[in-house]
Amino acid sequence: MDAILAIFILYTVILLVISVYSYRVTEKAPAEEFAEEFYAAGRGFGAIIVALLIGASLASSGTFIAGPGMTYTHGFSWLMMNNAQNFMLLTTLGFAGIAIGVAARSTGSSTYLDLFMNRYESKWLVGILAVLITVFLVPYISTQFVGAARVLNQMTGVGYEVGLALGALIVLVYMAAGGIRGAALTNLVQGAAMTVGVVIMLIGTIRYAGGVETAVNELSQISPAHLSPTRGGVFGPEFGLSVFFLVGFFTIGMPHSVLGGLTYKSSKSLKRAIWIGGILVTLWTIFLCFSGVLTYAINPELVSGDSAAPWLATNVVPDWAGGIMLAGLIGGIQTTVGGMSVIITSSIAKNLAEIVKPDIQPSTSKKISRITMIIVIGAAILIALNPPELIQWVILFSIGGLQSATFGPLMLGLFWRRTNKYGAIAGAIIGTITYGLFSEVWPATEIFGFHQVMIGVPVSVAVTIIISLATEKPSRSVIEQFFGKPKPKEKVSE
Amino acid sequence: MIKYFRGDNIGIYEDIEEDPRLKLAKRVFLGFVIFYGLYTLAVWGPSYILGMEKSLFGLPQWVAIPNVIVPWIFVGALIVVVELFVPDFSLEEHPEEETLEELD
Repeated sequence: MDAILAIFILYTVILLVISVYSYRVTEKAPAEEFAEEFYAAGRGFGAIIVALLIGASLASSGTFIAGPGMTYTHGFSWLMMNNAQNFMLLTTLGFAGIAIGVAARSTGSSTYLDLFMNRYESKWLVGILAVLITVFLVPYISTQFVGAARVLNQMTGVGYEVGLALGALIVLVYMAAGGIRGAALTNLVQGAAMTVGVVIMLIGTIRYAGGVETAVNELSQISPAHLSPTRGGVFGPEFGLSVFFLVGFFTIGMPHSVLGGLTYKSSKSLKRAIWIGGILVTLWTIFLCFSGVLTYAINPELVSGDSAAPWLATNVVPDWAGGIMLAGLIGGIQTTVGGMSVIITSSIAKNLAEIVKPDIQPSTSKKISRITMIIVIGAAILIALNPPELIQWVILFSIGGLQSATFGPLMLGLFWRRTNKYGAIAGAIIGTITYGLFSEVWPATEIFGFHQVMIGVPVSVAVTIIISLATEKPSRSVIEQFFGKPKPKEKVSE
Repeated sequence: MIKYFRGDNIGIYEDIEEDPRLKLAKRVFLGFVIFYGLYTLAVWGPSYILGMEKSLFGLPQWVAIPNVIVPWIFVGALIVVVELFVPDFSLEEHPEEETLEELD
C-alpha cells in the first residue's frame, strides 16, 4: 500500500514541476498575446500532444473507472458500446479539424466561443452557450473528481476528502498556472501512465484469472448474461446504435473536442494525431473493458462496478504496478478536467468578459482568466463533496446535453454559408430543451429504446436550418472570412 | 449534394470563391463519415448477428470478431487512409498560390 501511495506522490510531484515550467512559459508571453498562449498555446502543438489532448480529454472517468465498472456489471455488451468511442479523434479532428483550424487562424479565434462569435456575430448566442457549457460541464468535472477521490480512497485508504484534495488540487495548480500548455504537457506524463497502467492491468487480470478461456468458462457458469450482446435483453440494438452516435458521430458537439482544432501546428500534426489517437483510445478501451469483465469471473462480490479497477490495482498486481495503475486511472480523470476547465474558463473569462466590458485590458483579462480557472475547479471540488451515486449516467447526460446544444450550430456554421445567428440561437435552445424533455418527461430510452441525444441533435440541426432559411442571410464579410479563398502570399506581398 | 462537396454549389454570395482548403475539409468530412459509418456497421451489426460459439481465446464469436479484431483492422485502415488520401495543406493566413491550386 505504501508503494502505491509513494508512486502516486512521485507522479504528482512530476506534474507540479511541469506546472512551474508551463507557468514560466505562459508568463513570458506579452500581455496582449496571453489569451492565445493560455487557451491555444500559441497554436504550436505536435501530433502526440494533440492526440493526447483530445483523446485523454474525451476519455474520462467514464472510460477509466466506469469502463471496467460497466463491463464488470453488464459484461461484454458494454465493450461493444465503448468500442464506439475508439475513433473519437477521427470524429472530432477528422470531421471538422481542417475547417476549424483554417477558420480559427483566419479569424484569430483562440477559444471555442471565439469561433461562434466570429461566425455568428451574436453576443446572445455566445452568452447562451457560455451558460450551457458551465451548467453541463461543472457537474461533469465534479463527477471526475468524485471518481478520483473514490479510487484514491479505495486504493490507499486515505479519507474521501483527502483523496479529493490529492486528485483535484494538483489540477487546479497546473491549469491555473499554465492554461492549456500546462494541460498538454502534463498530458504527456498522464498519457504514458494511462497506457502503461491499462496494459499492466489487463496482463495482471488475465494471469490472476488463469487465462481468458478459464474466465469465460467461469462467467458462463455464474452469469451467462455477461457473455450476451444485449446483457440478457437489457440493452437492445437500438440503444447500442444510439451510443455510436453519442460517443461517435456527435462527439464534435463536445466543446473540449474542438481544442485540438484550435491548437495543432500543421496538417501533418493533425493527420498523425487522428491515427495516433485511434491506436491509444482503442487500446485503452478494449484493455479496460476486458479487465472489467474478467474481474467479475474472479470476484463477483464487489459492492459496485466502479470498484473493479481499484480492486484490480490492489489485488492482482504487485504494489509498484498498482501505483502506476493508480496514476493512470487518476491521470485519465485529470486530463479530462484540464480540457473542460479550459473551455469553461475561456467561455467566462474571455468571451463573456468581452461582452460585458468590450475594452477590457489584456492585463485584467489575464488576472480574470486565472481567477476564473480557480473558481471553476474550486466549484467542482465543492460539488464533489456531496458525490452522486452513479457517475456514469451524469457523464452521459452532460455529453448529450452539450451535443444537443452545439452540434448543429457548430457544424452548420463551418460547412453551410446560409447558417445565421437566428438559426444558431434557436437550434441551441430548442435542441437543449428537446433533449431535456426526452430525458426527464418522456424518457426516450423507455419509449423508443435509444438515447435521447438521437432526438436532441437532429432537432437542433433541423431548427438551425429552418430558422436560418426563414431569416436574413449572414453578412458578406463573415462569409468572406470563413469561406472565401484567401489572397495568396504572392499577391499580398506585391 | 455532389456539387456541394466539390465546392461548386455554394449557396449565397456565389461570387465569393470557395477556399480550396474548405473544399478539402468538406471532402475529408464526407470521407470520414463514410469510414466511421462502415466501422459502426462492422462492429454493431455482427455483434447482434454472430452467435455465442467459441472463438479466439474461448471468447464468444460476437466478442472476438467485431469487438476485438475489427477495431484493430480499422485502426490499421485509418493510418493508410489518413496518410495516403488526406493531402497536406497550409494553415497560413495567406498561403502560396501553388499550394492552394494543388488542393483545388
